[in-house]
Amino acid sequence: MSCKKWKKKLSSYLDNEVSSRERSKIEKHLKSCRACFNQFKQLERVHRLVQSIQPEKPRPGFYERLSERLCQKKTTLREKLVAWRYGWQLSFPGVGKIAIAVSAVLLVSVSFYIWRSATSYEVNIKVFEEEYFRSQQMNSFVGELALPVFFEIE
Amino acid sequence: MQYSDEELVERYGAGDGESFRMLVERYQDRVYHIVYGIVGNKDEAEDLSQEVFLRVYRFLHRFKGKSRFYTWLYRLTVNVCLSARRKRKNEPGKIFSLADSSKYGDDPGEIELADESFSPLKVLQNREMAETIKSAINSLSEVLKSTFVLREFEELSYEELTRVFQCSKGTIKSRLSRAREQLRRKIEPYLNGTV
Repeated sequence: MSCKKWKKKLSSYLDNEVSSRERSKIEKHLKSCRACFNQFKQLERVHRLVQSIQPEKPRPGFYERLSERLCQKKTTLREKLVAWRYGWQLSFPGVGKIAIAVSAVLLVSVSFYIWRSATSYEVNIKVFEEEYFRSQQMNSFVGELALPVFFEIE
Repeated sequence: MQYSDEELVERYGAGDGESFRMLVERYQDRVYHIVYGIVGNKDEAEDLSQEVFLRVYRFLHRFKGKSRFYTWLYRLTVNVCLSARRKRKNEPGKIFSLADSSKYGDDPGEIELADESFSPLKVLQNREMAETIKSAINSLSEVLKSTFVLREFEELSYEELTRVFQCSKGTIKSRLSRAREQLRRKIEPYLNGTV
């Protein structure tokens, strides 16, 4: 195996996340390869340096500030509900409200009238078609009777 | 009485608001540390840490207990950070880098090494080193950085990392190897004789 492949395994080896078989192979290689050994030592140092950085902590009162933000969120939601509920009254006071209500009723009535007309027109066409076919049958029946009579006269 | 995370979640589900406070207080430092490790800025870390807990408040009912609470929380934390970084990248002129952290009011000297001695020269060297590491971590890609931060700062096992990032163990190994190698190269000149 080339050094490049061994070097890729050094990080897992450092974290003790290799199998015991792999571990012994890596250790054997580190004993024989100076470059890989040096690289491993450097990785160890990086790890130690990162570990030695003191953890950052939030300023005191983190929960209190979080609670404020939670309250703001809740208030905003409540405000939205209130705005939605009273928005109607705020947006259309007095006469405007009546005008909108009348327009809505008119719109519904006209739509209903148009729908009804369209339906009755369909019914009329059906009736018309039935009448037409019946009259056609009647004509052919009359024609059959009439012809012999006509020849008899001739 | 010390409740487990899962017990607190259960109690919160049953309407006990105090449980939420206990969860926040238990995890606020860790979440903040992770967020700070990813974004590298105190103000942003405070804002995003709070955003994490706001989401916990909103979505805790969705936590079904299939995994440990902290893996769920850390997943949420990483998601909040990554989406914030994505938004920031889309805003022109707002790409943050630690190189100009002073612009955001961060004092580079505030990150200190734990083994700092009283020697002024050593203090200075340690601060410089801490700043170099911080800057090197910040230069990693978002995904490498978050994987590295959770491993190094929170010492999550590879198994736990696969659950947080929803990926294979091989991917975690590869990400950590790449992150460490990039860091090693960046701070190589400082490594010899420092520790």
